[in-house]
Amino acid sequence: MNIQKILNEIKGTEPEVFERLTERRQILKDMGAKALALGLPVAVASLLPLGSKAQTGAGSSTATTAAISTLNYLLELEFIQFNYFHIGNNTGDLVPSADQPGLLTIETQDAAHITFLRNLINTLGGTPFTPAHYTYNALTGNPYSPYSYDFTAGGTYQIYSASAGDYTNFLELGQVIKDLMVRAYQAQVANLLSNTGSSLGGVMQIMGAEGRHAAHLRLMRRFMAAPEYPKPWITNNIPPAQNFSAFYTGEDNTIQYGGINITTLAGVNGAEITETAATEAFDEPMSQTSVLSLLAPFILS
Amino acid sequence: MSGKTESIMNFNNELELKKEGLEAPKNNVSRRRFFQVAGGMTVAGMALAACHRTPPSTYFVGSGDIGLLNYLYILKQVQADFYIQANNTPYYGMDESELQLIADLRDHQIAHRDLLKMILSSSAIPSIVINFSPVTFASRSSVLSYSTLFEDLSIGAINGAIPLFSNTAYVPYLSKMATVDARHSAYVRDIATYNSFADSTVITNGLDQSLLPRTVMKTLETYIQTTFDASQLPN
Repeated sequence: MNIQKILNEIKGTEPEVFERLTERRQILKDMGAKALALGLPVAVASLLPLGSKAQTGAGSSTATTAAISTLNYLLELEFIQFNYFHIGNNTGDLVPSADQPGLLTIETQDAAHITFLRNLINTLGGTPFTPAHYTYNALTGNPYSPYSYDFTAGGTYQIYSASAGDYTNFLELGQVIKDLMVRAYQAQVANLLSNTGSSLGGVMQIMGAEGRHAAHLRLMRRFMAAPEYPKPWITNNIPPAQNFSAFYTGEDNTIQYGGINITTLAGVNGAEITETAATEAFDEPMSQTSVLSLLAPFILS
Repeated sequence: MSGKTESIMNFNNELELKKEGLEAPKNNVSRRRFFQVAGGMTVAGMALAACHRTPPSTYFVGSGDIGLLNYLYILKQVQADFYIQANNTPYYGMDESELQLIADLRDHQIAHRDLLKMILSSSAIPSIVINFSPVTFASRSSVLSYSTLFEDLSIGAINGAIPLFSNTAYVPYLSKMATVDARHSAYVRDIATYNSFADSTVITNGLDQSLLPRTVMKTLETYIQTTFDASQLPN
């Protein structure tokens, strides 16, 4: 938390406001360290006249507003993931004991992502996202929110009972969601290039974990002899089942930076890199609009 | 021990002596320590008369974005060379599934390496000379352990390098490589010990690592014979 930076931003955008703020410097000095660390954007806002741009905290610069918006979208995605796996992990006999540690790891790390994003958004002066029907504190509340989601999509997916087939379906949809999350994050990297509040690095670190989660689910399904025998990485645009094709659109791309087609580069022994390998070696982005449209069936309003 | 392995070990011993300053160059230039790592001063192509063997030339990695791309290119060369070897001499007990997927690990790293080489064009450092003497390629646990090390290093390196770029146009493409490396790491960890795909040896509070360039170069030097001047890397 850089207090001077915030004060400089206010000075830059609203000089008259800053003049009044310096009179109150003593008040700021008297604030406890904890208040400063966690709540300064809010506290500063309370000292400013209503309607001041700086009061919203988020409004002090365009880059910060944009970063907060992006981070809140990612936070929304983490809520979805956390709840999907939390509900599964707490459904009676759904998950076999050998698989429980791994799926618990996924849930726990998604909860940690929620904590990280909430704190980052708060530090930047924004209000962290909460899903519909969420009644807890936006910064600290338990992310479990059963009334916000229906992961069966109105009965389309049978995933949460212990009857035969449900666990297979649960893993399949879980993989699809996780693969989608990697794509969603990839697209948002482009929106965080200004690295406001060290957002870019933090998001990269979350994204690595998401890649691991996706790979683990794919490997679990491979070991369970899923029909398409998936690899831990995405091959071309192949979905686990045809009804999930839209989630994998564009994953067959082989053209990367500078219009370079990977299949034209020399591979092993000088032979060109196969199209399969070229599509697998890069995880492709998917836009916010497309991602939310694919997740809409699971989100209750 | 093969002649090649022996020569690699002798070479490393000489470097160790040099680092301790125990064997000074006999020419008249001011004493310069012979470093492989960032912060040192090295002279490209200088053959030290005092050496029993002339080491390969030292290559300047560069500064700024070129330096960062070269640094990632070095890392990708290590990974590609590692998997090329691992596929040429598969470990004992490699099953059908592993045979297929470990070939993929190689092909993906070659794709990453070659993309970086294309981007760097004439600014690319030459191909590195590798040193995998610590690895026992016949051993499944050794290969998976080193695979994990290099994949985790790559993820951390890309994560740490990305915020340092001036030209951010590269970033989305490097990011695409990083999550594939994360999938790789999850795979080799899981087949070594099921459910270890994202354990506390690499994930802290849900976050994958972010490593600084000079930290990564320091770890890599064990596995590379070629010497680099990485002193101008952003950090």
